[in-house]
Amino acid sequence: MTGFEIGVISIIAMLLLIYVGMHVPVVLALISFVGVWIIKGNIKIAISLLWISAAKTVSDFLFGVIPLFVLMGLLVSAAGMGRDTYDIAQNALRRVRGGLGMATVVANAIFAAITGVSIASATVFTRISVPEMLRYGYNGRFAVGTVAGSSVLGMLIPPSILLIIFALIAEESVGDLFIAGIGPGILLTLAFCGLIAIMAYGFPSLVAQPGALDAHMDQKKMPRGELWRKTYPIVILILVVLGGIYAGLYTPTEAGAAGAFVAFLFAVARRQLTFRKLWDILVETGHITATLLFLIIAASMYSRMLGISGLPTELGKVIGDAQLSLTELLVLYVVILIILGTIIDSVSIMLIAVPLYLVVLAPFNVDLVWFGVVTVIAVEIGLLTPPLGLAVYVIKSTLVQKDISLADIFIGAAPFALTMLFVLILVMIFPEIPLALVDLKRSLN
Amino acid sequence: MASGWIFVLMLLVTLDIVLRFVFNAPLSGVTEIVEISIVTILYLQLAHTLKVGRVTRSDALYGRILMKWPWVGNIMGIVFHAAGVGLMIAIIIGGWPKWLQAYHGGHFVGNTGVFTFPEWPQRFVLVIGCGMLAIQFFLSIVDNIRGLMGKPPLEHEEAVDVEVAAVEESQR
Repeated sequence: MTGFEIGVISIIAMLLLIYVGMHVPVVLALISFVGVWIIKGNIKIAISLLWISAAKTVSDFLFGVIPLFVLMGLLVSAAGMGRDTYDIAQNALRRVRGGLGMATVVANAIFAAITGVSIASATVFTRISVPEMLRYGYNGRFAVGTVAGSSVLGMLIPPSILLIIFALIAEESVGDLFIAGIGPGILLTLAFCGLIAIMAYGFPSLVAQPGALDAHMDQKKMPRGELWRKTYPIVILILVVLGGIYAGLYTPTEAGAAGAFVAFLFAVARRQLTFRKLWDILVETGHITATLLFLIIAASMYSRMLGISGLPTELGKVIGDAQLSLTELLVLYVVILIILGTIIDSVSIMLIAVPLYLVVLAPFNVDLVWFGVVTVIAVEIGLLTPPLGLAVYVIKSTLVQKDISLADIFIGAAPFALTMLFVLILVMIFPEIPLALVDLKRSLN
Repeated sequence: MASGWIFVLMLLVTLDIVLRFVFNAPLSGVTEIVEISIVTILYLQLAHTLKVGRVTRSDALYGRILMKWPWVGNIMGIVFHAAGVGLMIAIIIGGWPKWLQAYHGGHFVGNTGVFTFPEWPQRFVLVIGCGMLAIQFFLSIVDNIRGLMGKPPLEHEEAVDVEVAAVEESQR
């Protein structure tokens, strides 16, 4: 067998094993181990490949960015800032038809700017905004769909773990990717709000029971002092993290540490943090970090194996011979990502697909920062699509209202998934959406 | 312990930033400490992460098989977890001589004269971590075998969902 054949077989075997439920890092490590063993005919080389990846991959200052941003996100949640963002957004949108839905979207966008994990947003807002929408007579399906749809903003608006991981794979600047996420993030927020407005005016029966749509308009305005008290910690956190990176004051890892520290101070000042709770948060941070790093290590074994098999170069040749244009390649890529996204989690997909595609795209000179944003949006659509939309499962498991089924959440989230697809196409046609701010920053430095 | 260390790291890096900007006197060695720590945290935490079921897997199909045909599911489980044990043993075989080499050779990381730290502890932690992970995978095999014989699994630990806890508290 040639290296190329082994490479192709390994990809099929890998997807199969992941699908039947083997631990993803174990699959990646196993496939690489066996692959190298067969190609080189020497088990010692295979063992040393495992060890080198295990020891060297994550031993870099840059990887400190993962535990620190995870810690920051959890501290922010513990400080009760998820609730605050919702209160602020609801206050601003209380006189708008469908305002509770839009408030969920906007609150998610703000919350996304101070945390990095989609799943965190999904959990927090399932508990905060779903009961609120149901109380005002909104449909359950619409309420959970809105939460599911808007939770994906968490991965697009910086800081974001997915953007960080893409930067690590593609060896791009984490700061640039963060800044590139801002434009599409705002666009997606607006698109979601637009979608809700269309639904609320055009098809009110989809959103709420008859007559219930305007019921929340008589809510009182939040007193100015309270508004200020809830707003300033969020503003400070955004300034510390994004401001610091944008101004080039410090590295993303340091921004993560500073952000986590500030979030810690707020949580303590609000008396939301006991020792017991801090410990739980730290253990959880450890779990998430270990999960992500284990995946990254396994993925680096896999990309080393691919390198040895020669598959990427061969694939590049095949694609060169096929005379595919860049547009066709990208459409193919997005379709593959969305299909994979129905079965596999976002991080694993990126770790599997991106290294291969980087080689394929190399002759086209694409801006990898833009490519990263496209990847993240495409992968995130998979979070909302059956049979295995991760965000949907998280919402189902956190939901108190047991009469809302998984199918309801998928149906409710469908319009949002379509809107994401629309935004994704816009970003692909107009690379300026993510890149304008990045170019501005590049020209400053 | 590994989890507590993340907190220390946060303080350390923040301190480094503050010192650098306010007093123009950066701490030396923070970069190296962070680099060593990432590896250490990972391998000390990994076995526990597997224990509470947080290592990434797509378990929708597996879970369904386990419910419908526990027999098939458990045999699949044994195969999956045995692969985990095997790989960990392979890494230990690869890593064992490396840590001895680093220990006896007196290898270190960092820049001479600025900040140095011996290399062997992180190499050693890797071996230990993989060993614990192998044991944890092995315990999962034991669970699967118990499942085949119709016995309940060994004791289980569930991860605390901190986000849900936080939201519920804020609503009180």
